Amino acid sequence: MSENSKFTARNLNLYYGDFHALKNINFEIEANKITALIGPSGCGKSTFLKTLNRMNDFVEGCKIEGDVLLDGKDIYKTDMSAIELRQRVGMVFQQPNPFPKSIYENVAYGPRIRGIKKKSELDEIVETSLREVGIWDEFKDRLHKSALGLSGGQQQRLCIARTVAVHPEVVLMDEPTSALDPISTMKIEDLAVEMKKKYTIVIVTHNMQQANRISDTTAFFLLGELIETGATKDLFLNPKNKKTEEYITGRFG
Amino acid sequence: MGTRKGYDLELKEINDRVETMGKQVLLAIDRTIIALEKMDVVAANAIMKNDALIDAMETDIEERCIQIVVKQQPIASDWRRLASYMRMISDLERIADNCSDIAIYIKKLASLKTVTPPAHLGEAFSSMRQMVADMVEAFHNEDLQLAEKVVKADDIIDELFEKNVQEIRDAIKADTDAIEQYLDYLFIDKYVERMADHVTAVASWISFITKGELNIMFTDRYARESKDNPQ
Ligand SMILES: Nc1ncnc2c1ncn2[C@@H]1O[C@H](COP(=O)(O)OP(=O)(O)OP(=O)(O)O)[C@@H](O)[C@H]1O
Ligand SMILES: [Mg+2]
Repeated sequence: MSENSKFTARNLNLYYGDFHALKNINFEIEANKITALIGPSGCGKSTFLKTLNRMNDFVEGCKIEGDVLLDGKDIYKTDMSAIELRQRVGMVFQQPNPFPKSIYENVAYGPRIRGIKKKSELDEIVETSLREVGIWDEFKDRLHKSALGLSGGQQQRLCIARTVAVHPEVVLMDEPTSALDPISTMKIEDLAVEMKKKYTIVIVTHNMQQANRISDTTAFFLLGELIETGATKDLFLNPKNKKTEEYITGRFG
Repeated sequence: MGTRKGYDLELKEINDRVETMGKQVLLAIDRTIIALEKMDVVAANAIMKNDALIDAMETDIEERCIQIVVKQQPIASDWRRLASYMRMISDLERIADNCSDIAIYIKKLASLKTVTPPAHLGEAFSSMRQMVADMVEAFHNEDLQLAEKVVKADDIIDELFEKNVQEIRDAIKADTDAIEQYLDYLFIDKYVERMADHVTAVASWISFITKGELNIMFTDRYARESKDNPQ
């Protein structure tokens, strides 16, 4: 395990019932870097992402073998609760999913359930979080309006603000821009690049240009296997594996 | 596989056109060698006229490369190819220009009293011609070894160039009446040496396409010549 590694997967296998969805994955995710997971639909990107914050615990019949270490500690074999883990490892989904509440309540929700009650403290967290994702000025005059009235791009950035409000260490993003227009997409990309100073980011994307633009490391999955991983700049210029080449150049049938 | 058929066809088309351009450049060199041997003014004019064809090839390939880059956003080996093609065609075009430059000197020489050419000029010319022929073959077969051979051959041309310069110097000393002719030969010698530099660059792009490692061969002449304490 290298010094800078945030997550380490070792001999990780995952089964949905009889279906072998992740096959002996060995992979290190570096701290304060953006790691992009790419691969065709159904190859196991989301499954892998979800093993990093135990979202698969909710799936019946899901069985996991091997180790997933966060800062060297196995997240499946320690006394760290799944709740605590998910505070350290936040997640942003493909479809923006704000709660049907005000903008303010969306951001204050996490800190509130973690015991913060004082309004002045919550006010401050809301402002800092919204500032962090660059939407404070846009939202400050309508904090108490419903989040559902926002555009998709605004909702997604609100969801990221909600995620960072509980001070995670890692932010997982599963196709966070696939429902967004190009401008909102660029805003999220810029945000991700900005965020990696504070967080470790793992992003699933079907957009090769996006992976190429923002990630430091790229991992290519195929049929549950990790086929190739490497520095993004090398992988997109000179992939080692022929299957990677075929996939990223759009020649994969 | 089998997706992106139009894209693959266009990539292949561009590749074929680069190869055709390479062959045209080789043909221009062959014509230049013969025209110089025979001091053939008609052939020299034909070389210069033909230059427009090679220029048009460069423009056509360049436009195709730009179009496919904008439309398809190529990456990986596709992008290595296209970026390389765009650099290669500019060097190929320069080689063709040098053929025309030499053609101008052939016409000048033909109008003057015949002198014995520098002894190593023919060898420099044919060695450079061999580099271009090897480059065309290396491009066709994506033959890394042959491309590397081309890169190495550049040193031979540099040596022959120096030998010719020495011979020209001696010839001028021996016959000051022939100074015009030998100055013309000096320019031709220099052009041949430049052509070898261009084909070396093209060959190093072949390495980039096949190996993915950027190692463009620039001439090391400036590094050698700029040493503060030359031996
Ligand atoms: N809860 C589940 N129960 C059973 N099988 C599942 C479950 N979730 C995912 N799978 C299967 O596991 C495989 C990997 O799914 P996963 O969602 O990780 O793919 P993905 O790479 O994220 O694909 P996409 O790009 O379409 O989101 C697929 O074959 C999928 O059908
Ligand atoms: Mg998925």
